[in-house]
Amino acid sequence: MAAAIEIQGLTKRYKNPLGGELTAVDNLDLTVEKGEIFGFLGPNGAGKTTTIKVLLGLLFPTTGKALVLGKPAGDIEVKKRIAYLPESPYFYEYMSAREVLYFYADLFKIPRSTRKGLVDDLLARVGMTNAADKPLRQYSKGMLQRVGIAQALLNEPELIFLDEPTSGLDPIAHADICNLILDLKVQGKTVFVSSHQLSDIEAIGDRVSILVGGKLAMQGAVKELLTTQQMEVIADGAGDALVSAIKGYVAECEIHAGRLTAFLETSENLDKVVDAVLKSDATLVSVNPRRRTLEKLFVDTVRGGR
Amino acid sequence: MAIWTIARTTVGEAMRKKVLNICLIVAIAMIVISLSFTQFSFKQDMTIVKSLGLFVILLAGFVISLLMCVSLIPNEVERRTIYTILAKPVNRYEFVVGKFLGGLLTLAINIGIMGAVFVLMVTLKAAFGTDVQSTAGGVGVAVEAAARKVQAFDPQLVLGVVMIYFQFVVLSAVVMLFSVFLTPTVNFFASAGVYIVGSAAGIWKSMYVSGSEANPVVKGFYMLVSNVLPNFDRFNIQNKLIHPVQEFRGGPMEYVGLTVLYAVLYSLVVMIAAVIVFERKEV
Amino acid sequence: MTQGKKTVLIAVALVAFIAIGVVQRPINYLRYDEKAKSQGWGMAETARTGDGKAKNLLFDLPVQFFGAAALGLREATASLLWVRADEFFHTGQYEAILPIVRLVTWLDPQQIEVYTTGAWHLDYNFVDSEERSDRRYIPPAVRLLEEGVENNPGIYNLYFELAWTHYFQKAKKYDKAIYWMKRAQDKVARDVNTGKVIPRPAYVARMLAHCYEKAGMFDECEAQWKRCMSEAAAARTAADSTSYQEEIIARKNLGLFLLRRGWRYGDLAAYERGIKVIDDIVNMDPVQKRALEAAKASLARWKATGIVPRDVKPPVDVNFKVAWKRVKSKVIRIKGSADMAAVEEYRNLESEPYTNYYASNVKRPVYARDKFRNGARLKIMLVDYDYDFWNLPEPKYFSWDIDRSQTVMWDDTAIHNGKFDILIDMSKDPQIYPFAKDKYKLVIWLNPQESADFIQDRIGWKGEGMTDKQFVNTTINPGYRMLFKEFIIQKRDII
Repeated sequence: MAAAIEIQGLTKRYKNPLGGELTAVDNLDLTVEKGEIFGFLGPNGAGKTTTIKVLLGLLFPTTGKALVLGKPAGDIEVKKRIAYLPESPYFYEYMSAREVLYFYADLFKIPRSTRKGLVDDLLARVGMTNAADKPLRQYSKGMLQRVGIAQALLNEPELIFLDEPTSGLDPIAHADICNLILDLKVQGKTVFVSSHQLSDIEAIGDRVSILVGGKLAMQGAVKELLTTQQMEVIADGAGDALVSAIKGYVAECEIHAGRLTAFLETSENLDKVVDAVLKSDATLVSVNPRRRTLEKLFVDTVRGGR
Repeated sequence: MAIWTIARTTVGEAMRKKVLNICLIVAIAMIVISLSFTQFSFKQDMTIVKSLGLFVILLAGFVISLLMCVSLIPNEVERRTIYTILAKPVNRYEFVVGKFLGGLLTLAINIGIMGAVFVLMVTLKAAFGTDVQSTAGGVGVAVEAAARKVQAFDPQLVLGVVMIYFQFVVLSAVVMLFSVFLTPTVNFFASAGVYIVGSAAGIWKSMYVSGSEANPVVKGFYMLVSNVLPNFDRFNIQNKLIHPVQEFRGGPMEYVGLTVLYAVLYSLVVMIAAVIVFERKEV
Repeated sequence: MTQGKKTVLIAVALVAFIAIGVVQRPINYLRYDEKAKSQGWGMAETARTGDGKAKNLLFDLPVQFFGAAALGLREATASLLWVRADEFFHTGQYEAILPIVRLVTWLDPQQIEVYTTGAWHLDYNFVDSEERSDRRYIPPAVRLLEEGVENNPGIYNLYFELAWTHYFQKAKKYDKAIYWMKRAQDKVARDVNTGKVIPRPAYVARMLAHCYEKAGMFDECEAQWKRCMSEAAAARTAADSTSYQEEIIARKNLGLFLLRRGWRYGDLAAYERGIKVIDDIVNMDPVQKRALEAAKASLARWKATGIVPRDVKPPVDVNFKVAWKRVKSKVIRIKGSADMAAVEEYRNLESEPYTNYYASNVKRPVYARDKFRNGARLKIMLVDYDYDFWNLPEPKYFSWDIDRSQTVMWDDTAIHNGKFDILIDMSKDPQIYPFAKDKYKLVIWLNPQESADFIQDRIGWKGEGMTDKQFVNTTINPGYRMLFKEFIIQKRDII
């Protein structure tokens, strides 16, 4: 079975009319498996949206290959099976949510007979039943986002691209949308989320890749990326003697008001450090494995460190 | 059908554009106001009502088609609606053609409304004009005046409005082509330029036909301009409408029919170019 | 889009582009231009100036009209300019009207009345201090009307204008009047509002008959009146009384014309046809009835006696005398006499029962009686020696510019009681009469064609009934006898 998304050596350069060139995506390799929620991270200008547009066939790669559901990006048959929610979507303001959904349903050539039922279901699903017939210009950002998600679900897509789906939303809308995404995964759909809301990805994402300057800086399963071998040892009443005793084993240690905090890159020398603490006058407070937040990972990655 | 869906939405949106609504309202007001020019003799009244009315429709049609069509595609990009639409199983050509047809429908509605008001006003004026001049040299004036009230409706006026519409079909196609690769502001001036130069096609043609221009490069340029640019000139039949006594050579239907055919063919060529360019357009 | 589809599309576009070229040909108004000079479609084509150069007149427009015309409001601009010309007309600024005529006819070549009025201005309104019009404007007037005809070839209006107002009334050139009137007769009229074809006015055909009569083309004249009658009969409907009136008018005219042929030339067959034509008039008034009775009586008398009348015989000896003298610089006096024609001559004319002239003259008191039948007119021309009245220049393009070095003076005077005496003062109008040449001719003629019907009753349509020992001329206007005298004058003799 083909992967949901397969990107090989994708490079996208924009030509500046004045002669310069901007490389938005640089030799990117990326694979998204079916059924996963894939987090696509990166600072502004990293090339996330460019990559998504290439995958949708809105932009054309300079070099490299992009396959979506096993077919070249932009293939009309593929488009029947995918969906896309752009960042801060807008629709025709004079229309109501229902009319917008009818419009997109017509683009999918969904027959008139089933159209109303489908749209009603979707409106209920995104919690818009009550406001369904108001014109969009009266909608809040969250409501627009819900309409956006509803239009993305019209065709029961196998693969959904969400570009910053939660940015600027109130907490309730935010939570609702996260839940919706998880529901999609439960239904077996593949979700490709680009987001700044790192905590969302951490909470819902299966795998994540971080794009920096158009290059893939890091990629992996969320759990693996966030779990490290780093250990943290904390002791009270420590003195300089202890510090010199353990110095050879730890990556970093400091004493602040008698409390010692020491980091170990691996657990290899943990025994030796703990022994040294126990042998000293100090009291061992805690020994913990250290887990990174995605945010720290992101910042580290972007800054080029780990 | 995706084309029709997009066209319909385009009409719905364009008909709600304030700036276009204002154009329409001002135009209608001017057509009605032109009725009040009564200080001249009857025939000159009619000349001014017809001339001004057709001109107002022409001008409003020009502004509407230009303002509307320059932003049809760029607006979709700016609002990002184009992304959701093209992410759906919609061919790019369907999008362009749908937008174009939507624009044409909007234009048809606008020009149709203005045209209806215009024909109505002229008919009323012809039927109830106070000072009716006779062509029959004073004989049977009363009979003629009575007949005139019945025959006041001149179906050729409708042809005039149709011709105005079709020249903006051509212009809209040109604007659509330009909008695929030019910004709206540049497009506005480029298309307006094409319209103005194309409206003077007769001059360019006479420049190289008459042989008054000796320089072959300049002559070739005139030839190119008059043959490649759309010839908006020939859509203007206001003189014929102002003076119904003038005949169309080969009859009005032949002239109008050929000109409409010209408009359709020209728009077809331009739209094929637009479709081909848009196919590789990065949005 | 696959490469294949793209190729198909490009192929379709190419085919359509070729088709555009094909479609474009027949709707190219410049192709029409080759047939009729201008169709007036659309934006500014160039106009022709007097020297034939193509010129875009847009920049000649008053500044407040420029914008409107450039934007395409050509017809409205033309109308407004014409309204303005009307103001100039009412304030007597005739010179200012001419450029407007040029602009208006260029902006809107279909404004018929602009040609009509413009030509009328040129023909009549540029006058000297003695109200003689400046005849140097005749060629441009003709050219303006001809241009109007070229631009409006389908309708009768301007053909008629050329024929009647210009050639018949003004220039009195009946052959040209006939040429244009025939063409006017073949054209239709159109309703000014709807453009529907309507019958051209009946008077066009009537005027052609008058032209034929003036030209002495008798058979054509008779046929033309019959045509007028049948046209009226064909147009006759129950609701419309006008065509009935038209028929009566034609019938009366034809009858009178035939009777004239009878009494002037002794053509009894024509006379009989005339009586028949008049006899068919229903509801004759008493005067007509009396005249008809008289005609029948004459016919019976002629048949009984075998004496066929011929009022033009024997010819009157006009005994024409004319002399001119310079009164002062550029003022001349022309005096003379012409026995044209003694009242006694009318006593036994066969036309007398109709005109009743002789009888009414003798009823007057002696001092008030005419000695001669008044009404013959002399044409007087003082022109540059090379000025050729019979072959006036025919400019190719309209321009109101005239040759201001020309001196062209036309006048005419009536012969009253056998005498004429006219003082012509050209000194007050050096603009019109510049006397820039060295040699001039003073021409005085009496052309029977231009004479009133009652004069023609004696001398005939072509002057058969007049003679003179010195001045009869049959070569200037072949087929016609006229009295003609030409004085060659040197500049020093008049200045």
